[in-house]
Amino acid sequence: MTELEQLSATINELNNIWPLLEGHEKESVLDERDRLDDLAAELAHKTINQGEPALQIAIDSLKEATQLANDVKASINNVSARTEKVAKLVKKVSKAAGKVSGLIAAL
Amino acid sequence: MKRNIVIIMASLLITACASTPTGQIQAFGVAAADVTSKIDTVITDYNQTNIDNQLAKMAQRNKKYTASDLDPIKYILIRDADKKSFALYQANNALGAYASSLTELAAAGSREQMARASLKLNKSLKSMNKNYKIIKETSDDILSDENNAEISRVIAEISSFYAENKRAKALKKIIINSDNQIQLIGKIINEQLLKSALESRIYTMRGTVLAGYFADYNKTTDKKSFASRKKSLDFIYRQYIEMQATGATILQAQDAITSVMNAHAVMKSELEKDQYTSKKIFKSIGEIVTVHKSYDDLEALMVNCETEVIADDKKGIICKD
Repeated sequence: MTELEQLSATINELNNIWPLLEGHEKESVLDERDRLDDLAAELAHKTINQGEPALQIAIDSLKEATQLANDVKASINNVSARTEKVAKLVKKVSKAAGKVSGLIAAL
Repeated sequence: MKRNIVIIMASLLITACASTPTGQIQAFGVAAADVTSKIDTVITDYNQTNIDNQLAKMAQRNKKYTASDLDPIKYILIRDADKKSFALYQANNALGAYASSLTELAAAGSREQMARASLKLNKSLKSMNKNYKIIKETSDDILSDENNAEISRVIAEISSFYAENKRAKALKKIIINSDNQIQLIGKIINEQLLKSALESRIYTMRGTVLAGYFADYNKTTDKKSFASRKKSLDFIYRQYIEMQATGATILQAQDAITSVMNAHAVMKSELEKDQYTSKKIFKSIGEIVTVHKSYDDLEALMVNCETEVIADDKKGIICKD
């Protein structure tokens, strides 16, 4: 059981007691419950925030793999883009050649 | 003639090589990304429960308040602005981005994409041939329609072959090398973040709200009729069910992450044998989808269940008869 789970178990116990109490007794149990709850909130926040060093290393490494996948995808998509570029170039050159021959014929 | 021989040889070379299907990897990416987007909703639940908890704690005291008493709430929330620095968010986000990148890579350079590019080339070559005949004032083709079609087809096939090979090699390398990280991240999300931190905290915070209703009930029970007491208890019971369902929600989220981890491990093992498609991969992806679907079903169950949401060893999460 982690520290947070232990704290939570104690808070649960206090929540099962204070609704049966009144006056000073109730207030003192609520004080203790709130004190532990603040500690638990802080601990949970810290756990969710920080994780552990091994997790950060794994996240960074996975990000690198993701980048590699994206780079390879871009380079593959480049192949069809290059074919389209050649098609455009052929079209442009043949159009230009047509225009030049038209000009020569007009001279 | 020489050109025709080259075309035929290239065609033979390409058709002799089997293509590498990456559709199952693409499917894995889609299913895994869906799961990670669902896990993100757990953080939203956690935020909402935190607000309820703080307000309940205030309401349980016989005190007077002003706006400044609400200030502490903003410090305990995972706000969108600083969400990106949180380990849970980062871990889940890294898994989601990785899954999406696999989907996109597996779909990159599709045959359709290559065919479209080659069709454009075919049209340009045709236009070039037409212009050539006008310029040279000849009826002889520089490139016949048949040859033009063949050149375009071979270019499309060579491009596809190149793309498929590159894609398959990259996917294999990335998936095999990333499996340890996927297993570690999944384990930490499941055991430390979801189970230890979120589950215990959400359960306790809902219990704090519930205790307030019991206190009210106990204080006035002497003066109430049976009907009034029953009505109050019905309401309290619904809050109690919601608190009990916390474990079930987290359990479903854990199962979803576990199914992604398992499917990735299966893919790794199959790719090590150069199996890009197999019944094992198909089955493991099916499990992600099933778990993910049951996660959606659970949400519906929690809304609609009028008795109690319980975990059954054989049937999983069910609404008690």
